[in-house]
Amino acid sequence: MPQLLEVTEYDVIILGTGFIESILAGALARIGKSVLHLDANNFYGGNWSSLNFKELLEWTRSIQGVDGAYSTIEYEFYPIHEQVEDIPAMLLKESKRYNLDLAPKMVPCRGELIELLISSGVGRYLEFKAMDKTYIYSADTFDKVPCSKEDVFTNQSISLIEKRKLMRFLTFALDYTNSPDTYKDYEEKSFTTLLIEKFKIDGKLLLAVLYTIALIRTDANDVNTIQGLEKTQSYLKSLGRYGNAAFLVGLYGCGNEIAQGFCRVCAVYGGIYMLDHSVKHLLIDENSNKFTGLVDVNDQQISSTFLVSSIDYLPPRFLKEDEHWETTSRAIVIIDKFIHEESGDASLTVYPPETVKNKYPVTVLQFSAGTQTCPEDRYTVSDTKPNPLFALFYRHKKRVVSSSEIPENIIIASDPDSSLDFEEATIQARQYFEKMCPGEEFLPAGPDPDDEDEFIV
Amino acid sequence: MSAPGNRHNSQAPGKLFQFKLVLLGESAVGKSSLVLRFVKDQFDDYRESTIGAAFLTQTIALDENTTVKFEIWDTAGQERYKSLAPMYYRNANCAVVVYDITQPSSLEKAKSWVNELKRQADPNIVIALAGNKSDLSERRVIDTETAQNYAADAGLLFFETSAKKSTNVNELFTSIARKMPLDQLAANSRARGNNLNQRGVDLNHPVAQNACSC
Repeated sequence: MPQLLEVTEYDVIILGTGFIESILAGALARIGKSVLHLDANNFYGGNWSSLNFKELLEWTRSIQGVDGAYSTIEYEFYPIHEQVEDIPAMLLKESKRYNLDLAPKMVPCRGELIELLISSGVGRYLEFKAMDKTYIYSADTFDKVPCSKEDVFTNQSISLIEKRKLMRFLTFALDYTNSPDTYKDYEEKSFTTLLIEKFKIDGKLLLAVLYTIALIRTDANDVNTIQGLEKTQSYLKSLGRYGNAAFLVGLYGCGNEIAQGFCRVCAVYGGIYMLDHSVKHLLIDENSNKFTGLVDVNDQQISSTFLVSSIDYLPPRFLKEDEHWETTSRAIVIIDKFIHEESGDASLTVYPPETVKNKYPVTVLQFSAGTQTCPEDRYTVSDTKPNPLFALFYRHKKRVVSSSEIPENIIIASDPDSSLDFEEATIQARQYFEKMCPGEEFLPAGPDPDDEDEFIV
Repeated sequence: MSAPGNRHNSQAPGKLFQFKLVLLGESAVGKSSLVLRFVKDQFDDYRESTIGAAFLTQTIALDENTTVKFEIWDTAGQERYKSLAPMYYRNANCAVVVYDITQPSSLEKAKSWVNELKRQADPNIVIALAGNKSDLSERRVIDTETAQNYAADAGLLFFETSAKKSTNVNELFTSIARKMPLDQLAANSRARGNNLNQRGVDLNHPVAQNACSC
């Protein structure tokens, strides 16, 4: 017997439990809006989710041939080594110990998301570890990248002269707005030009600054001086808050856990949750072009003033042609050893453009059992080197909607972007909230659970 | 989360152990009422559902050297349409599975939650079964023995409770505290050391960079 909803009128219906939808769910319920939050999947996180191994295979099959956010999906088991004859059976057996991110990201130690996690209290639900090692690949070798001042001094792969150049640049970049004379002639030029001409940084060191410190994800020639300095500065500001790391990674997967945390805030403030619950169609009034409600899988008609929706739930006519979409090639690879010695629980490795026949930088996030994303002696990476046991390749599209046709009371949450963090997505959630509820506070802290008297038996 | 914390050591002498405790059970069996009675010694007949409590904490002094602090997570209604987030079970050290002695289906539901916990949660989780609303004895449909036998077979602590009359509520939480493997945890924590990478990062407690700032 289908479970029918007792209440069919809400302030807001939210479709999809992805990162942006979930922040909005928490923020809206927090200020007293009635929220119904549905997801057609039987798991949280939507296109931002983390799946165990079995779920990942099921997900792969479910999206194959579907006209959605993913394309060119292929996976392979590698039947080599370790006296293990049946790799698929082995991985399936330990399935639950994997939490594999569909769109792996990190949390900068200073920035929009971390401040929101702290101020809202959602951070108390989550666990993080420091991502404190970065490597860069060139000419068949991996070099550890010096990030902090301490690193610069102790790093043995760069010369003393280069250390001085790098220190001079990092000191300037941390506070660049106070030395406008240094960069004013370069504002219109590329960031690369500034580094080469003004700071005499070139070769490997140049690649390291561009792709592992400024974390440029495209062709560096397209990034101007101001953009490059902004990126460098935000990286440098993230250092030193939680030890010698600029980023944190979430335990048990990142986007999905954070989304669940905000969903919990929503539920705690009265939001109703239904997973595995799909929608038949949206009700849009033709005359006013306003969203009025929807019909769910049980033919129940549910109405609301606003709809917040992941793109997955929108009729295709709202989407722009796919040539406008940003596409990221991703791979999830399970390997049997660390890529680098002393990698720790999580590491970042960057292949600059043209180093492995790549046009754009390839970024590898490696997680080991310490991040609770995989069992011991297994490592998950979003690319490869040692013996792979399994690899899944896919293209992840950030779809674009044509805003003119969409009813103004439908708020659309973006797909994950190609960046390595959640900053743009967090900003988007906040802006949508401000648009829907002008003047209201965005996710103020709840009551402190520690404000209780001691109880003694 | 299961490690002895020292953040709140100022409150009590000796060792402080902090545990995550999750509540499970059918809607309206009195999960929140049990917590409210335990934490605030209050009861509200017309309380409909938990609103506004992310989690509550309560401390029990087991003896003069040992204090147990429970971080108690309520389902926040997410169990109603079978949509409880995996995060809820994550790192739970103990659970109270609640049924209503006046509702026959609620014990069956409790059994399925116990199975779910055994599937999803840490294998060492301490589970207590609570038959709530023991004050409504004239409407009782689940006899004590049935539930007690089930609890014994499944290896659960068992109490019949009344959040309303404050019967067996403190006893329930105290016996969970006593069943937690405190000695073992103390030993583990000594072996852990203070390495940031091993402990994880506490967002509210920045760790200064261990570098000279020259």
